[in-house]
Amino acid sequence: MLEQPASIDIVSLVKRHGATLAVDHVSLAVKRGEFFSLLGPSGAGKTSVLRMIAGFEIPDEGTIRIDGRSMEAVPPNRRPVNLVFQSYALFPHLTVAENVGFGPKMQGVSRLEIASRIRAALDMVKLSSKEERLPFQLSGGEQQRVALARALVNRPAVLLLDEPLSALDQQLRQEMQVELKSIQERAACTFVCVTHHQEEALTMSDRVAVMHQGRVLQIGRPQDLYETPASAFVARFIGVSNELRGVVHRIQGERAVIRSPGLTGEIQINLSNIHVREGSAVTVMLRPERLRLSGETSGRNGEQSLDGSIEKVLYSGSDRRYLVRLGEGVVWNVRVPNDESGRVGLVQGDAVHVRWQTSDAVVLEE
Amino acid sequence: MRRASPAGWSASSGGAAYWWLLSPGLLWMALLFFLPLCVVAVMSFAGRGTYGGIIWSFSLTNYFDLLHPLYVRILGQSMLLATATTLLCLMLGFPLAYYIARAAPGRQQVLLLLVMIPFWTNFLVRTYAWIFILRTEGLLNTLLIKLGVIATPIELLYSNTAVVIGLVYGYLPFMVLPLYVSLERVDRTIVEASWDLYATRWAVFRHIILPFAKPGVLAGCLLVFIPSLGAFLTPDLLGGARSMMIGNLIQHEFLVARDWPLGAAISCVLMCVVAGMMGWSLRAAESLSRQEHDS
Repeated sequence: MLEQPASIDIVSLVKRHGATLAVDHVSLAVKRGEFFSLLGPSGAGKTSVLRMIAGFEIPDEGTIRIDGRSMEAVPPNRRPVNLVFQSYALFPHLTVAENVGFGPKMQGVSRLEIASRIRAALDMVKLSSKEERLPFQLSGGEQQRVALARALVNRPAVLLLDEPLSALDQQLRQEMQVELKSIQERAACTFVCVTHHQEEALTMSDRVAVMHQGRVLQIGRPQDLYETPASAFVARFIGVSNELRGVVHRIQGERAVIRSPGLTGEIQINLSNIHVREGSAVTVMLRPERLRLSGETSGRNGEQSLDGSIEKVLYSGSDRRYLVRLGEGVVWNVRVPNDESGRVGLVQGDAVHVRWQTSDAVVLEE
Repeated sequence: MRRASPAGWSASSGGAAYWWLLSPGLLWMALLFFLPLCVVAVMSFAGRGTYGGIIWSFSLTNYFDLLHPLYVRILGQSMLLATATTLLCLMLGFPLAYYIARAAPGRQQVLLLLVMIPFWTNFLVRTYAWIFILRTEGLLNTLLIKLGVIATPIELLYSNTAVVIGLVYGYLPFMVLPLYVSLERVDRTIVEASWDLYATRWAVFRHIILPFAKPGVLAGCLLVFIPSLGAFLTPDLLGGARSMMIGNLIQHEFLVARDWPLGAAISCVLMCVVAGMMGWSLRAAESLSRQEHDS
């Protein structure tokens, strides 16, 4: 099979804003037809990367290739990409149909072809009945769909989305996550999406690049980032994480015993993915939903356990979150699904054992 | 009992407080604007006495007199100079207004202040300054001769060119300010979006910036054209005998020829021309925006 060039190939991209490195040697490749997200807190440089792909910012170093073609000195109006702006940036003086038809009109597509393309694009975003409206007459969600249609109508090689759902309320946001993903599959188009919202990125993306302070920390599928974060930052940024800082006390074959200054007990970790020696400092991380609470002292085989007491119970409908104090300065978050009606559950002050499968712990060397 | 809501202040409620608050303005306009206007209108139909007095009669003689080629030429020349002034102000003012609207917010305030600073000096004084710049041994000619661009001084002062220069200088701020207001509303991301959607720089200007600027262009043009048409001081000081404008003609009839009724008739014609132009341009703007919508 012939090797296709990547949809977007970015090599060692650098952008400086004054003395600070907004984008610090970013390299990544987006595959054709992929839903790729740049995830990170504000100021991570993800929007800068997106704007450089679109052509609105000029990189200080590095190269961007789209479908194998270098984008050096190519202005935005001659790049095969279209951007969906965070604020939508709809043309307020043009109707929905004129907004959507703007791109094809500028490219000199025939009137007849423009009309049919507008119809197809509005069908795709389910907005056919609003062709003659002006943007201000539409709801936020509808404006979002017009912005999408206005970009997709051009059949771009890559669709760029800048915080596409940030202006929508929670309910609509979750609907649009599903919708956006299915539009992407229908349009068979590469999507590159910038977001600071980790749930959004995980739900929609095939792959995610986590960015922080201008650098890409990890690129991977959502499950890779969640299950095997490469750094504490990634683990903390994606989902809630419980942490325990400790020192390797001794090594027993495939396991190491960890002791932590705040704790009375000790725990064991698998050594299959990590090389540590006695005395190494490590951080052990555990997801709240991988923990169990029990009253029994002895656990099942392959389980680890720490003793603690319930400090707070947070009821959120679908589950209960327990804040469990394990020792001096160590409070863990335990999520227990609310899968049994009428269960009383534990209350503040109860003594409990927190248990987990040894293999569920992510261990990072410091 | 009436509610103390803002609706209580509406004209339809017609409360005593409403009329009390309005009365100073109404009185001012009635006494100092509407009444004199009526006097001028009535006077335009009166006749002139032998020694410059007014004979209160009714005839259209003054208006027929205005059909004399000399007066028609002066009116035509005024329209021409005012149109030239307006177009030049638009050409100079648009880039300037766009530049100010795109500057950083702090800089915008400084630049707007610079546009308005000339108003701090008396217009008469500023017009005299132009005489020093434009006259035969003036600043401009001296400079051009020193630079070797020209050998003999060019006759600039006392010409239509000098009048247009003076008018453009005087009324440019009235073009820049409304243009700035309309261009300032153009969101940067909208310009970027059109650029992203394959628009060339010219297409961005034509399809995005110009529609936004249209109300500003219209307001600016009216604000420049109307005072230019009736300008008196600038053509009086910078224009020659052949650069007389309608404002100078009115002044001449009232103060020199002492033919008040004829002066009043010219004033009425000028007013009608201005009102007609305003009505026409407003309608044009309306139909323009409707067309834009239909296409």
